[in-house]
Amino acid sequence: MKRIFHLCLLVVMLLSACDKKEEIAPGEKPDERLNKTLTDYKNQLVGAENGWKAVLYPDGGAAYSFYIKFNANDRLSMLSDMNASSAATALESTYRLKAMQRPALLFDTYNYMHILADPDPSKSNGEVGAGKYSDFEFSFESVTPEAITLTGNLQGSRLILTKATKDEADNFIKRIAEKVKTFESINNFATYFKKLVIGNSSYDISVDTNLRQITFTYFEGTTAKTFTTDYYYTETGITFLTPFAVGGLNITGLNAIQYNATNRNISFTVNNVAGNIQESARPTRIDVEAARSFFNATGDDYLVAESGFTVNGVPDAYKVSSITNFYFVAFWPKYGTSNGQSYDIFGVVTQNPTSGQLTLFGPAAASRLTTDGRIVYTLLGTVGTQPAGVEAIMTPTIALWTNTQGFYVVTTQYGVDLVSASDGKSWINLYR
Amino acid sequence: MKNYYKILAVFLGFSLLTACTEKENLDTDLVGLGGETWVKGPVDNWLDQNYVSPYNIEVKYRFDRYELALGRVLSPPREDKVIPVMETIKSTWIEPYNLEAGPNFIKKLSPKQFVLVGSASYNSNGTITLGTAEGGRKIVLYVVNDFDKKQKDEVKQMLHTIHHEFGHILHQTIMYPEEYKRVTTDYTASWNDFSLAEARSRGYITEYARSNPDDDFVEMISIMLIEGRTGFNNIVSSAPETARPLLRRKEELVVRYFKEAWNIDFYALQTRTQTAINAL
Repeated sequence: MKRIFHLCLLVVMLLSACDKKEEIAPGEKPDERLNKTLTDYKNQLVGAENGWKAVLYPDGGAAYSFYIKFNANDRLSMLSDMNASSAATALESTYRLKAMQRPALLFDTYNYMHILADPDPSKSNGEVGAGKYSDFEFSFESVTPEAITLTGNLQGSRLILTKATKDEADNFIKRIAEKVKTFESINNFATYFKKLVIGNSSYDISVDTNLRQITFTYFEGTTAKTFTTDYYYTETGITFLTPFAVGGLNITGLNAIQYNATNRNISFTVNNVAGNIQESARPTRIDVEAARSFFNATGDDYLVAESGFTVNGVPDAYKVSSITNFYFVAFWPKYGTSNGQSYDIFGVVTQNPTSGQLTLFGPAAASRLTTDGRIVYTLLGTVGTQPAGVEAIMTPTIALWTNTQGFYVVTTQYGVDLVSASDGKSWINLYR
Repeated sequence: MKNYYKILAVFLGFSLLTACTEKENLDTDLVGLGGETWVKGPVDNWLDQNYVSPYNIEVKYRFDRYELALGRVLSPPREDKVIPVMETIKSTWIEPYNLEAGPNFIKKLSPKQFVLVGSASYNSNGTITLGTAEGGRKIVLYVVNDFDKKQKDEVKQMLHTIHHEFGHILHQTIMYPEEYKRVTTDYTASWNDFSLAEARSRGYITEYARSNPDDDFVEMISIMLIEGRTGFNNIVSSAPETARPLLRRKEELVVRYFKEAWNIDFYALQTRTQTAINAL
């Protein structure tokens, strides 16, 4: 009995024992840690006294540079290399740090950065309802004292912030903007062909400065190939997102770019080898295959031009699209046969706005392929009825189309371009 | 034996008394609890003075994804557009009501939140959305970045949304006369398949008015206020002859409703709204 009693006492004593130090999850609570993380991030952003260099890689391609100074009052000021005014005038807006799925940095009122993500194409120069697939809300990916990497929450763009020095705070965007201006001078070139020469190699290039995209044309045997990469501007030139590697060359970008307005050329270096981009009246190498397959087209289908010829850098120089009720130009190889001679037409299509009926008129010409790969048109007559009052438009258009030097044929993503062989300064874009 | 029990009971009682309590601090700082805060700037102060304290209306202009369609590509507003937009709304919506219905009317009945978005909302069918509203509580206004009060059509478009939603709040508080629902009866869910001319010819002021009697009623209020009496009369006289009496009957019922339910002289309100729009 006594033993049972003692045992019971022991049990009772044990029951009343307690350990006050028990903690299921030791350390700070998740909310405390999250708050501390957000505070630390903000202190780091604000603490960089010379601000941050930022490079934004939109999911839609290319990359854009910014200079951002974060202030403690949840405001920031920003410069960008997007255009001349965004590079010269700092714009203020707000930002905030927020715990979303992950700690996030939100640029929550409009600034230069938002232009890329604007769904209005007139603002972004991108796609309707999508812009250039960029972001303004980012999650922290990795943080070191000198650099912060973030990922866009909606599109998955990448934003890399790097601490700026005093010199960079003053000049980072300024220097980049100069390079933008230098390289975009390529839009002043009057010729269709732009020849990039480096060492013993040369390539035809085309540049879309809106999308920040450069395309190289090179040959494998007799077949023309193209290589396209997005690029972005640096303080010394441009950097390709994908290096161009062909024939022992590996071009990662163009450095030390300079524009010479008198000669209309852009000089640069690649790995200390000098090169330049210059106007060119003819292609580096004529794409004979493209010309032949264009020439041999069966006539089952036509190509469409949205307007007339570009001449000396002026789109639709003869104003074909100003013809009343103009719809499009039907560029139709082997449209018909006359006296055993098949002919092509440069058919201007108009549409009656009320009935919707289409009418076609325009010159007809016989085409031939020269041995070096040019298409030459010889005027035969006209098809349809040319409306009154369009002579001033059609006469120079017909003269250009039937120029005895003919055209080079360049394959593009959407169809072909015909480039005047007489000086390389007139061309027309045709779409399939 | 009994003693043992007693001693055991005492021990048990004692041990229960000494069992410890642990004090837990439940008052922790939860992330985001109580809304987000930031250092207030001039825009925040202006909104506080003109919307929050007088009317208890929150105006959200800093982008908040969770207030909006999650997958849409949208832009935040420019800071410099916030005050012009809200000033316009104040002068063309709040103030005419204040003058006609007294200062407590808007305070009591207004939707409690405006959300501003810089860009339009692009729909997959190629259209764009300029404004939306949720249950008379929240109004989302888009294309704030293109706002220009000199563009009268766009200002009217924006006011259209606000008057429309506010109209819903009014009739959800006090119902409009039952006979309104019987003036025209061919309401349809596929209202968007018909043109404006078609809707007008059947006695509806807009395409959407044909959706259901409630929307018909608030579309009438909205159009009558943004177009003014002259504008409304022009719409009626340009409608086919058979539709005119229907529109006139609806007008009469709207005017009667405002008088009977809210003691507001609708035509006076209409005049004040027009004066405010013209003064922009």
